[in-house]
Amino acid sequence: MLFNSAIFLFVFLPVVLLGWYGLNHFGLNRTALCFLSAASLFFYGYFKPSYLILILGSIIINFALMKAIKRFRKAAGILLFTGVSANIILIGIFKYLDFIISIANDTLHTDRPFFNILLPLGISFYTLQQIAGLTDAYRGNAKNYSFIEYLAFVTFFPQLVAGPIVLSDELIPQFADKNNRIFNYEKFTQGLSRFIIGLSKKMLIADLFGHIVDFGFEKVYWIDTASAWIVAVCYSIQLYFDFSGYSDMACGLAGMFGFTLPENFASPYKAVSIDDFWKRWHMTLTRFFTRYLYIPLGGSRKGKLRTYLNILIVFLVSGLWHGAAWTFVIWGAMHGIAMIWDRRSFLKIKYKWLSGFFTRVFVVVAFIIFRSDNIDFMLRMLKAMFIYNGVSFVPELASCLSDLPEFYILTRAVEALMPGMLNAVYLLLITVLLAAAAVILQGKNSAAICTEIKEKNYPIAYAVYLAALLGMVVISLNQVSTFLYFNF
Amino acid sequence: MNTRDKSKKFIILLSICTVCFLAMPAFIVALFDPFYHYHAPLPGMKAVLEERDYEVAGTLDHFDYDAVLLGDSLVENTNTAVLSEYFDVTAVKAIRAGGSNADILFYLDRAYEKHDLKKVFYCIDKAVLVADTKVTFPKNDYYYLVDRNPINDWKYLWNKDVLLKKIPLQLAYNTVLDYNENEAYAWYSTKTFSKEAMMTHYEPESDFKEQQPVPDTFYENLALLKSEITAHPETEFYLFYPPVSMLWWDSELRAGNLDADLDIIRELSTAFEDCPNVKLYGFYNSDEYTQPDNYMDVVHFSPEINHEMYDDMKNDRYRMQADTIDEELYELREKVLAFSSEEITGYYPDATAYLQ
Repeated sequence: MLFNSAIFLFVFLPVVLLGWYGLNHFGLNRTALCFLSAASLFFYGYFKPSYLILILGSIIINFALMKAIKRFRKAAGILLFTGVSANIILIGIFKYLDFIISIANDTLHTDRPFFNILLPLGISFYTLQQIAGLTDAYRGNAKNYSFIEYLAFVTFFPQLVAGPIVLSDELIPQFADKNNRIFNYEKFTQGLSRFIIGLSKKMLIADLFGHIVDFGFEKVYWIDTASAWIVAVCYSIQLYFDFSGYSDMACGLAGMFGFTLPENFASPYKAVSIDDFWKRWHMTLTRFFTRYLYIPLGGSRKGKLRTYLNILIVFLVSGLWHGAAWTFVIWGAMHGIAMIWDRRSFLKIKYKWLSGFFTRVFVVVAFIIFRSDNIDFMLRMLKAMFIYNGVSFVPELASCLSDLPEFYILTRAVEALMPGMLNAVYLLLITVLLAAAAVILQGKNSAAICTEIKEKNYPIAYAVYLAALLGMVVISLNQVSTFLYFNF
Repeated sequence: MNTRDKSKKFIILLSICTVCFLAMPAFIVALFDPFYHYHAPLPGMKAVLEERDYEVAGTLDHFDYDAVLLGDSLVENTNTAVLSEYFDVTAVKAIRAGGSNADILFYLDRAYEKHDLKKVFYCIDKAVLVADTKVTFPKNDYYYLVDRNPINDWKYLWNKDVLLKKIPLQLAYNTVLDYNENEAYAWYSTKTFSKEAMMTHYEPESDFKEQQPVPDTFYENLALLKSEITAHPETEFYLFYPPVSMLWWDSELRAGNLDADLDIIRELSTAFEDCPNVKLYGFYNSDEYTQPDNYMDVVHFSPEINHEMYDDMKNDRYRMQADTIDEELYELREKVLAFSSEEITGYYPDATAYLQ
């Protein structure tokens, strides 16, 4: 089920909210938790019921291993190794098997058939969560949770499919907190506001820029330098609003249920270095890799060379985690190298605005690699971006906006009344859109806006803005699109 | 007022504003109703019909008519004013893209629900007659415009495309742009009808497949059609097998379908003998109609052909006769064989490999 679907907004969410608060109201706390887990499993199974077997199997095995690690301390190391390996094998089969076969075919000149396994939704996210749980149990940091609590934690629908990557100690104690079981107007208002902002970011901004990006990538064989840069910038905008919109929705939904999820974004395009960028972009992933990979590898405690190697390993794994393709490996390696560059302080730029500019350019270029379906597409896009071949394709790229209902009246009117001005109008439109996105990106992020709503004592104007956004979202529901991070 | 009360008031206000913001587009869509799901065009406004799958059900429910033109893309170019003039009826089109007898009869049933039909004109080409016999609408994403379930109407009432594209276009056609209401769904103005244009859509296969029998779906479709006709003796049915180009016959011969096509026509010629309310016409064997310059591809002909057919039907020409059908089909078969073995070089002079 998608957050941006009618079935979720008008049926699932109201029913689950009513059920959760209703059961808690009558003191049926354990039943409420069971209800929440069942609802979350329904949410997950709605995509494809057979995925339920996989996620339930994974949860049961990981829970049993966590219990065993806590109980049999002498065998904890072996049990941890077994658990982590099992999780990696699971994700390996579903996510990387065909990639490994393609590498084997290329290197050994064989022609082994692919399995074409459909990636189960959220497997990358819930696998990391459970690896974190096993490691915490091994380290003695995990408390003794019941199976229902653990099930509710892993399957909690706001974060199940695309994060944020929540740790058990962050969420499970909130399930038990009696204050969270009573309907709280303030928390609900904050959550609802955050959810509407996230939904709007996804449906009104990300999908609009996504239209330009998809058109540009379809025309990768004809694209010129200016168009390639526009597509690259549009993709960085799309990806941010799509993924941060999803995270906002997750945090907002959790807030509506009385819970708090960790923040995943903190205005990443305001970063002044790559190091800074990763403290602002997909923060829960950065946290996971820092705690459960970088530090166990030795972190920065074993000399500079080892530190750089550890950074590179972390980013290569991060790249692979995002997808099974060489483009993701290259994207990860680029960021790893840029992080090392930052640490080495090569060519330190004095002015923050300038280093911020170079950071954004780097991120935009790296995201083009991230977006490319294969190496050929990547090379074509990079060639178009860095070897000048004109600007003549820009009007055609911008003309794709005429397909969108938002610009239909304007473009048809210009076409009928001033056909000679049509290209100029397309260029103006794309310029205005990019400028508007830049203004939004430089402004307050959604978490800050929600704080402002609270601090200003819930002003009427914000209620009207949010209602207008919700209205626009609802009329866009018939153009439902999936979230980009569902693919990772 | 404490923060709890303020946040409570905020939620109430947000809810009221949301209802208002949602009521506005729903009201506008219901008022202009560009797919005619709720009502006929507003007084003084033209019926703008451009997207058949979205509009036919609404048209059949709410428009004022006493005749229906049924069929697929072959009859879309019909000017319904011609039908009105020739047959003294008010006709609307019920077109199903790609053609499917079951879907077309679903439309016909829909028409009968609220209208008494004097005449039904049904273009029964091969695609229609051999199509699957199940109604396909429930599988379509626009089914909310076809069914009568008010719950899924939200997809129409709160729809950005309807609000920002269809309604402005409807208003533009009613004010600044030209629009002929009688040419609903017509596409001919963007196409070229010529031998050369037709040839760009066809390349003969070099081999000839073994001839296949008539598909079972034909007999099932025929039974469906007959039961519909017998259920409505008060309506006069004009069934017509449309013309096709010689290249289409050539393609059917090479694909192993020619004998089945001729058998279908033979079956048709006798199928409605016990239905006095049926007039059956066949334009498949007419040199006049198979002229290559009438076509944009191997089956789609110009609107002039549509109108000539109605003229011929009005004058009762090209009526299918069971007693002469064998002779007629023998002649047609010989003509197709001759075309595929000799005359096709008039189209593709260098293609000797294409000869039978």
